[in-house]
Amino acid sequence: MKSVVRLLLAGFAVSLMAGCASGVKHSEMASSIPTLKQGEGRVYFMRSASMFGAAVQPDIRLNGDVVGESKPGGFFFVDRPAGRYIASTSTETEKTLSFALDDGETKYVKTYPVFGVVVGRVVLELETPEKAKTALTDLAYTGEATKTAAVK
Amino acid sequence: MPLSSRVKSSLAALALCAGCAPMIQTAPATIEPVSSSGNTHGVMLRDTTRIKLDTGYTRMIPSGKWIPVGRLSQGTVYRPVGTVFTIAARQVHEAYLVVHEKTLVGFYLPGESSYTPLSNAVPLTLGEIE
Repeated sequence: MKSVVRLLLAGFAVSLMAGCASGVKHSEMASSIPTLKQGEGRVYFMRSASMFGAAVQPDIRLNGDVVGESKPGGFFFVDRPAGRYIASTSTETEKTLSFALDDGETKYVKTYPVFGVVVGRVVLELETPEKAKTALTDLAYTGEATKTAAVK
Repeated sequence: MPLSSRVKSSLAALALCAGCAPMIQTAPATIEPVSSSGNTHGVMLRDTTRIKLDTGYTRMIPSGKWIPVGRLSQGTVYRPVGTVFTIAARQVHEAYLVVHEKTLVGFYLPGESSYTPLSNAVPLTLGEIE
């Protein structure tokens, strides 16, 4: 009986871990992250490795375009021309964050799940640079372009 | 019978969970850039200040340095230095302070080029910085 319980617990743990980001850590790739082009800013999207709501992993849109996913323990970034932006996620309802991006500026957007009526929602909020840089260290890269670059 | 603050908070939390939290009311706004408005002095907000939005949500404005980025007819628009500030209800909005005679009268939302007023203006403890 004990072995069955252990097996079930192990299976539960594996199923939880399966939803976590598992790419290169920010601390391992920081030196290879390209510098910004003139006229552009950078937006980091990040989510802590908390298992709460881990199964809820919606796409993240920036001004309507899908730029990545909100994955527990993951981060990615996109470079965009300076201007006005609305980041959004959509599960049972849409959550948005509006912000301005200046030339040469880096903004940090944290995403996190909250309770919903049927499924959880993923809220977006601006994070202070100080807290974001600390949190990024242990997060794994989930973006496409630099994942390729990091493999080289 | 007036509702207690605990009941109000519970209702606000329930509304947020249910996705029916109120929207922040905004109006389009165009700021006059600071370079043409002349005032380039930053201010120091000496105390972290708690505000209550018209939507019922509260927010803490961090103490520290704020620099003017322009003017609206309602007041001077300040953005924080080295940090970020947002206001939230159903959605989240980056927000700059709109200050008139050392009183916070509303917020400029730079991601939407819009203005949202505060029904109850909040006095700020401001100091000049070099």
